[in-house]
Amino acid sequence: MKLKAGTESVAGWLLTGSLLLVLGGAAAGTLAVVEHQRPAMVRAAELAFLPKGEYLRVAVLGYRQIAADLIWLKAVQHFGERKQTTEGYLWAYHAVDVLTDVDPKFTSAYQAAGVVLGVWANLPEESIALLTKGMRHNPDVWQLPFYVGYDYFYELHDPVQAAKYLRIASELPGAPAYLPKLAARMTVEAGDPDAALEFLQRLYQQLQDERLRESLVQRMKEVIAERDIRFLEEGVRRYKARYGKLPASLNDLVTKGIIQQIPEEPLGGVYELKASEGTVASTGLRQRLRVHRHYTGGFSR
Amino acid sequence: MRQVVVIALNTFRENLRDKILYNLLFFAVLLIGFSVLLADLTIMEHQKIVTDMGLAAINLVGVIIAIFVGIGLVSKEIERRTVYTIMARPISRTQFILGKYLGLMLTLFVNILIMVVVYLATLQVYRAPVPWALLQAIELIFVELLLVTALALFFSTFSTSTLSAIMTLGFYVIGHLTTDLKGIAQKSHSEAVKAVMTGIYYLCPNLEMLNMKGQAAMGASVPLSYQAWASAYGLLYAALLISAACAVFQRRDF
Repeated sequence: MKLKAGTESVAGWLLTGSLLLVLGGAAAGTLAVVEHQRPAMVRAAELAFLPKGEYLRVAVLGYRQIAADLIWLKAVQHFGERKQTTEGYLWAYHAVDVLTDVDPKFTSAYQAAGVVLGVWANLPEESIALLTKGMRHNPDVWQLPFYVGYDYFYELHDPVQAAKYLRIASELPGAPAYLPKLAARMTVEAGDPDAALEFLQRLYQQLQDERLRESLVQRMKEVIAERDIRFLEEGVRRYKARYGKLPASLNDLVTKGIIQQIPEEPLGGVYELKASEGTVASTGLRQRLRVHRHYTGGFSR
Repeated sequence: MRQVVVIALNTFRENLRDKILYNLLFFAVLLIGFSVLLADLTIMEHQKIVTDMGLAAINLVGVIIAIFVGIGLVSKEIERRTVYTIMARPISRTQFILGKYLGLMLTLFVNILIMVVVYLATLQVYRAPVPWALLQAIELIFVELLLVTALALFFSTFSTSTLSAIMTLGFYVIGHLTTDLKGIAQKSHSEAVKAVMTGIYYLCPNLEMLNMKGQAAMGASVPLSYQAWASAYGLLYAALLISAACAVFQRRDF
């Protein structure tokens, strides 16, 4: 009798167990299908449908920090995508704008979003908007104006504004000692690749993220290429002044002793002489950096 | 089957006697009150706020009923000892659970129906558009309520009312955040974290899949296939919970 009851209950357990397993498996399977089917528009636009920060701040009652943290977690997912569209970045920007309304003291959100929008997303205006908003609420954090300086200098090609923000940064507590000098170089030698290189190196030291650092290394290589191109073009001018004609190739500069050697191209291409105009181009560099071209008046000609 | 229907109708009547439908008053005050309060805003925003507010109120009122009536379905019968008189009749425990669940389902359905009618009427008054997406969103809200009811019923078969309420609320919150869990899992470099997070993700109900409120208010509808799959997911998960509730209740002593 007892045994029978035992087997019965074992069978019962097995039956219930397998029923639950089947239902659970089916539910998980359907979830996999559903999330796949969820329209991309909906997935990406989740951030876009965030309510205005001023309303949200009231709606989350006292839990402002945790609400801001949760939105930040969502936004970070979008910032971290390797292939993000401009639209995606704009939604993430909107999310950070909202969350910093909810929690205006969230300094790391301003910093990280500001850097990503500037360095990666090619959205310097949005980056500056966030960073300056951060500066209004957190006037003591020197990194915020420092990154604004980057945006102005490198993305918007405005060394004067860049220097202004670097000077603001340099007066804040904890700012590194090199900042005042860097700001001065920025204004006096606007367009000097060496100043740009120094700025990028300082920024590189500030950032921890490996992928952001990779992007900066790329930028530095571009600046070095620009510097080399200028050096070679200067050599071409000297050649022309001495011999009254353009050299046939860059190697002529070395053989005639005008320069010691042709520098190695950091981007993996080679430097070439455009014989018709006497200018030098690099096969690795897609386009010459505007920031230097705009302010080259002082030294190239 | 007949027993299940009897219990379901009984549960429905009991809910009505408990003045559950008074919540509709709360809903009406929330919806109409806000609409009047915000009447001096510009016309566009005004319509949007009425639309948003209505959807949110339907969802909120529904979830409150689903949780707080859901946890009482079984535990109240046990506390009042009325469960003995039911169990003395030729009704199996599974039928009892199923009947209770269907009864609350009916209450929720009637409730939502009335709220939707009031909601659509309000939208008419404010000349707000009624896109198809709105009805889609409401259908998915109903599926969500079925899932939440099942959660509440499941917890109440083995724990106290207070604890069940806390756990159901907890799962409701988690259910809206699990997508982030998956995001964390995908971004993580550790295989262990990835496995655990993915496991938790598939274990917890993903209520965000049933949430279309934001898009619906903008008039952006989703494909029917998505709606069907999402509903299927919600119903399957609810079926899983109800089966588990039956299994637990079968083996429970009281």
